Amino acid sequence: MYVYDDFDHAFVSARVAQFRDQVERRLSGELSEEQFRPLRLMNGVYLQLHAYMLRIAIPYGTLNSRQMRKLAHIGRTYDRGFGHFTTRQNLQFNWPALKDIPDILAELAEVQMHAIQTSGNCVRNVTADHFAGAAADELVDPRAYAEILRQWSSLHPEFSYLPRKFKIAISGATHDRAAIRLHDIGLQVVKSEAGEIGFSVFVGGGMGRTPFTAWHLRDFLAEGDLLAYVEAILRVYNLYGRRDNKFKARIKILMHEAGLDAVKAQVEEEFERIREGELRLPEGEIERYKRFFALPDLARRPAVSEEQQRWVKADPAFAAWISTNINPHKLAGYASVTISLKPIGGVAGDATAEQMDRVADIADAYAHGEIRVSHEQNLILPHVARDDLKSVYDELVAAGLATANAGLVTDMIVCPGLDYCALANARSIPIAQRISERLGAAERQAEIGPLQIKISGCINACGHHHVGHIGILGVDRKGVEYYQLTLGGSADENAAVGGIVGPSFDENEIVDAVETVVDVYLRSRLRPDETFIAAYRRLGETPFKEALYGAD
Amino acid sequence: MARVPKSSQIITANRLIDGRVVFYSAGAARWARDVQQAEVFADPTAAEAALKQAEQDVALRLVVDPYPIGVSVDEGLILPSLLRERIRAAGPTVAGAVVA
Ligand code: SF4
Repeated sequence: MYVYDDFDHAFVSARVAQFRDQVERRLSGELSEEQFRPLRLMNGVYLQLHAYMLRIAIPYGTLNSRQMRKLAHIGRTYDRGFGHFTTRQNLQFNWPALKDIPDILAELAEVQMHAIQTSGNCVRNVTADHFAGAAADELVDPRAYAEILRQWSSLHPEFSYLPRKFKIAISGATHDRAAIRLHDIGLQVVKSEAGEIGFSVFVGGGMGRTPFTAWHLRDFLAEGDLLAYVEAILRVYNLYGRRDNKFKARIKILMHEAGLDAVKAQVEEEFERIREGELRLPEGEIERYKRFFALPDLARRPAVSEEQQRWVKADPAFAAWISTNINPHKLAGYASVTISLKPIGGVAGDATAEQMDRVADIADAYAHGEIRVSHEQNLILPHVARDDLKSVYDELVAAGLATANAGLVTDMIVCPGLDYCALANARSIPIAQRISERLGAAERQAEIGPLQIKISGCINACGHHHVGHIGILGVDRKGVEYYQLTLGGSADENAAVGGIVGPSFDENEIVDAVETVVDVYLRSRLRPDETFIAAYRRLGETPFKEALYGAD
Repeated sequence: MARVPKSSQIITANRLIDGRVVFYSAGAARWARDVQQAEVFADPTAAEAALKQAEQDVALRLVVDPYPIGVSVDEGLILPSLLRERIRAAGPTVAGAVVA
C-alpha cells in the first residue's frame, strides 16, 4: 500500500499540531463555537446527538493490520471500545471527548492516518472497489489512481470551498462494486481498442434529496490525463454549481439543469486548455504509484484446494460461509474473504476493539497484513490462500465474525439513524435488527438468495436506500417514526434509483412489509436462480404493491 | 406523538469538553447528565430566563447550543416529548450498543 513520504508526514503532523492549538483555544475561550465549528469539521469532528463524533479516512478502503490495531487501541482508550465502519469506507468513533481528539489524531498520524477532508465542502475520501487488487474480474487495480487523486485533492486550494461536498469513486472491474454511478465522479478503468489503459468517466450521480444515476461524460480518457480532466470537471462545477441553495448545490443538479452537452462542452474546453500542463501524469510516475499497490508475494498454488474441499464436505457451516463470503481471486489457489459485520440482530458496520485486533491478527497470520473496508460496511481480507480458509474461518468464528451472509438479505447497509445522528428523522438500526432477526435463519436466507436492503434514517441517504433492491427511508410524521419503502434500486453497473411503492409504514408494520415483498418475490420467481432484482425488473411494482396495499 | 398541551420545559445542551448531553439543573453544578435532575419550568417566561442563564454558560465554555425542550412529568418522572430528545436523554436504543 501507499507509504507516506517526508512531505506527507510533515503535512499530517503539522495538521495535528494546528488542530491541537485550535482545540486549546476553543477550550480557553479564545475561539467561539461559531469560529471553531468549521475548523473542527475540517478535521472530521462532528457534534452528534450524544457526543462528538470523529470520522477517520480510510483511503479507498485500504488499511493494514498495524492501522487496524491502532483503531482498536483508540476505540479502547478514548472511546467505548467499538467503532462504526461507514458506506464511505471510513471509520467513525461515536464517543470521543473533544479534549482527547488531538491525541487521537496524533496516534493516527503514527500509522499514516488522519481525518482530513472527511467533512466539509471539499473532495472527500476517494472510494474504490473493496476487492481492488485482488478480484479475478479486475482489469487494473484502481488504487494507484485513487491515491494520485487523493494527493491531488488534499488541501487543493481551489477546491477547498466547493459549492458542496464532492465524492469520487473508482473501479477497475466491469462489475461495479463501488457504486461509481452514484458518485459526483465515477471512474471505471477500461482498455481502448488499441490496448491502452484509461477511464470511462461518469459524472453527477448521487443520492440524497434528489437522486440521480450518473451521466456518462466520456467513453475513454487516457491514463495520463486523469488529473487534468478531473480538475476540469471540478473547475466547471466550482464555477457554475449553485451556491444559493444548499439542496441544489451538488454537481448532479448542475447536470440536471444545464444538461450533459453543455457541461461536457465546458469541461472539454477547459480540459483542452490545461491537458498539456503540469497536471499531465508522467508515465514513470503512474508506474511508481502502481508499485505501492503490487500484489504481495503470493506463492504458486494449485487452483483447487483439497484442504478447502475436504472441509466443505465435513463442515456444513464452513460450506455455507464459503458459498457466500468468498470472492474469486486473480491468482489460482487464492480467494478474498468478506468478514461480515452484520451478525444476525446486530448493529451493521460496528466492530469492537477486540474484533478489530482479532482481524489484524488474522490478517497478519493468513492475509499478508492487508485489510479492506467495503462500502457495504464489511471488512475484507483480500489475499487468502484457499488452503487457509478453514483456519481463517475458525478464527473468525472465535471472534464472532463468521456470519455467512455476504450479499444476502441480512447483509444490509444501515446508517446510524436517530440512535446517533443529529440529522436523523427516524431510527435505522433497530429496524435493521428486526428485519435481520425475521429473515436471518440460514435456510430462509439461502432460499431468498442475493438481495440488498439499504436503510437511511433521513433523506441524506447515507444508508443508500435509493439504490437498495429494497430501500427503507425513515421519515418523521408528526413526531412519529414512519418508513417509506422503495423497490428496484440498484448500485452496480445497472444502477437505478428505486421507486416509492406507496404510503409509508409505522415501525411495527415495516418489518412485515419487507417480508411481504420477499414472499411475493419467492412466489413469483421463474426459477430459484432468478434473483430478486431480476424478478422485480420483469414483474414491475404491481404485484408487490397489491400485496402491500391491496388491489385497487 | 401527540403534543402535550401546555407541556413544561427543560433546558438541554451538550457539554463543550466531551459533547455529552446535559440538562440545566437547580443543583450547584448547574448542568446534570441525568435528565431526572433537570429543572422543570412550567412557566415559559421562567424557561426563557433559564435559557439566558444557560447562554452565559456557553460564554463560560461549559456547554454548547443550549435549547429548551418540551417534557411531561408523570409521577415525578421527567419524559421528553420528542423521541429525539428521549434518545438524547437515555442514549442509543440499540441492543448491543455500548451504553453509558
Ligand atoms: S442518512 Fe440521515 S440519519 Fe442516516 S446517517 Fe445520514 S444524515 Fe444521519
